[in-house]
Parts: sequence; structure tokens; C-alpha cells
Amino acid sequence: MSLAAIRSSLLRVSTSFPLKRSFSSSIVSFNKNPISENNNSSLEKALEELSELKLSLKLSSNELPSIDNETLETSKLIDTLTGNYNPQTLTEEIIMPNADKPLPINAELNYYAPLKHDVKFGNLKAEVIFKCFDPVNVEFFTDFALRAAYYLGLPATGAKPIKTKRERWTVIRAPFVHAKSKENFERKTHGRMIKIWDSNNEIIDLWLSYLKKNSVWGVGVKVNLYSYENLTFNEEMKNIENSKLALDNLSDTIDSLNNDINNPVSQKVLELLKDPVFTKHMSKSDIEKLNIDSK
Amino acid sequence: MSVSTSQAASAAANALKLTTRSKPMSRFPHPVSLPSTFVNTRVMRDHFKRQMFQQNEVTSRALKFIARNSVLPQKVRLEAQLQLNAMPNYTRANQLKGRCVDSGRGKGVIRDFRLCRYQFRMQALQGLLPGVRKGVW
Repeated sequence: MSLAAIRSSLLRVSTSFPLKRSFSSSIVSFNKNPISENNNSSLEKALEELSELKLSLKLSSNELPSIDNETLETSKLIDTLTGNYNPQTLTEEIIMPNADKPLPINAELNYYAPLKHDVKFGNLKAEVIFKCFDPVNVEFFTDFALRAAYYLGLPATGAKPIKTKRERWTVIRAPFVHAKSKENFERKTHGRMIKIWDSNNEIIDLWLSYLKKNSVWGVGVKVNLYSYENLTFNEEMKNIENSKLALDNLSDTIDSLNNDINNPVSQKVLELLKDPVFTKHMSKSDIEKLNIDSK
Repeated sequence: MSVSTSQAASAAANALKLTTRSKPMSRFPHPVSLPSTFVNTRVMRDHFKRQMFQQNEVTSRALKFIARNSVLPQKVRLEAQLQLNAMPNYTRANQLKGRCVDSGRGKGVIRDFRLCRYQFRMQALQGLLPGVRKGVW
């Protein structure tokens, strides 16, 4: 099987079945097992000892002995390392030049377009917008973000390009007069958008914090997160309509000012209204309202 | 005659006081801090107004709320308007002027960078402004 054929098969499979990772099973047949060839290593000895241990376990397995988890996992590890260890790779270069190991499949996938999960329900959860003056940086970062989203199991679509914003300035060249000679400058802002669908808020947060931790120089990120309200939302709207009465009624006005504790302006308004400069213009009932409501 | 001599004497005494002050007269009516940008007289003046606006913003907004609230008695609203008018000019936002951060120039300032046209050109050509390059089209 030639390399070009492998690549084309990979592309075909990854586009049609992005959820399955079985595409490498047909390709690994030409891979040799690098560890079993290495006879001199101390690892080999250790593995033999472990396999003996495993044999003894198998002999007594007729009586259904109770095996603790640690032994079970060791046995599974032996299975993967000795019997049918198939390092899954795509290229014909079986062993990496400096590492004595095959290139892992997840590392090799960096040479191909990022994989994506299918969008099942079409429930838009987040829009992530990347902006940068340099298209190279933003391309790199969106590629990284898509790969991270795939391994976290987030169905993502995009890196859709956003219209490039072009700002231009024409300035006079000289510090003083000579306004006929000018110079033009411009700045382009390139953008990409990734949409995240059908996923959990916590995992989106995890993904975003991972992006923030590994952010690329000069790339700005803006996130629009979407949430859904209850069907009883209209009752909350009624409360908002009630608060409109505050415009017609003094005691309601003072009430709303009192409730607005965090706003320094409304607190200042109350302070000013209690000042004798203002109370001298008010009727007694108004002053009473002011003092009662503020208690 | 005696009145005029006494007046002249008091004026002379005042002049002496002014010239022999141990402390120089303060430049602004309220203590202010220096800006972190290029500093000259005009920048200082603008910076003083910015600080005064910041300090009085809550008061002036509260007074505006009272003056424009139709629920409150007319006299209270008028009083608030009078107090608003009595506030000094340097507490108003419309007295502020965008100035070049690196040269203090008040004209030809490009808002996106807070630089005047010449500083903008020099820094853009040196590559100090991210993403800005010579426009060719």
C-alpha cells in the first residue's frame, strides 16, 4: 500500500466517520514490533517475570480465584506489551530516527486536518471568535483549539473565516505644514470563528481554560456563551413592568434607590435628598416617606 | 488722605507677603498627581481636569438625577439644577481633551493609538504599533 493511498484512505474515513478511530487498523499490518526485537534490554527480563506470574494465575483460574485490581491491570499491561502489541502508525517510517519508537498516531495526526465530532442535535452552546493582526498566528491557534475540542469530545464546527477588518490612516508626512505630502498606513484584523454544539458547560469551561493557558501571542479571543431560560421567564418580565411605576410614585422611587445598594449614584441621591438644603423645599409627608423607606 | 496711605500700606504688606512666601502658590485648586505620559503645562492642565471630573462624577450624576426626576417637587429639582450650575467648570467631562501621549499635542490626535499624527507615523515606521504597516493598494 503506497503512502498516497494511505493518506487518501485516511482523509476519506476521517471525513465520513469522524467519531470512529478504526481507520488505522487496515494500515498497521506492515508495522513490526520494535520491542520484541530488542533482546538485550532489561525490560524483556522484567516482562518474562511478569508473564510467569500471569501463567500461575491462569493455572489456578479454574477455581475462580479472586484477583485484586492491581494484578488484573498488570496482566492487561503484559497482554498489550508482549502478545499483540500493535503500535498504530500511518507512515512507512516505522521507527523514529532519534527515539527508537514509532511515531504515535495522535502525534502523526498533527500532519492532517483536525478531526471533528458530529453535531447531533444542533444545540449551539458557544461561539469562540479569534482575532489577530497576523493570519498565521490565528490559523495556528484555531487548529490547536479544534484538536483540543476533539480530544475533549466537544462537537465543533469551523474555523470559519470572519470578514477581515481593514483600518486605514492617512497622515501628513512632515511634523509641521507641507500638507500636500501624505503617507498611508493600514492594519488588517483577521478573524476565525469556532462554534461548539451539544455539550456540557463544564467541559466548555475546561476547554476555554486550556486555551487560555496555552494561548498564542497576539491572538485575542472572544466567547459568546448561549444559555436557555425557563418557560416561566414571562413572569419575571412582569416584575420589570411593575418597577416602571417607580417613575410615577415618590415612595417607589425611594424604594428602588434603597434597593440599589451597589450603585454609588443612587446612594448619593438619597444622601443629598436628606440634606437640609433639599428637605426645606419638601412637604412633611414627603420627608416622612424619605425617612421611613430608608430605614 | 490718611485712608489712602493706610490702603497703600496694606497693599505693600500684601505684596511683601506674596513675595516672601515660604511655600510656592499651588498651581491648581486641588492637589493632583502627575500623569504617566509625556508632561508639559497643557498636559498637566488636562490631567487636572480629568482627576476633578473623576472625583465629582458621582455628585454631578446624582444632582442630574434629582433635577430630571419628575416625581420630586419642582423646588427640589430647581435647587439641584442650581447646585449643578454652581459646580466649577473643571468638573465637567466636556472640558476634557484627547492629547498625544508621547508629545502632548492637542491637534491631529489619532484616537485608536492616542498619538498625534507625527508620533503615529514615526512609531508605525519603526514597527512599534502591532499590525500597522504601510498601506499599499
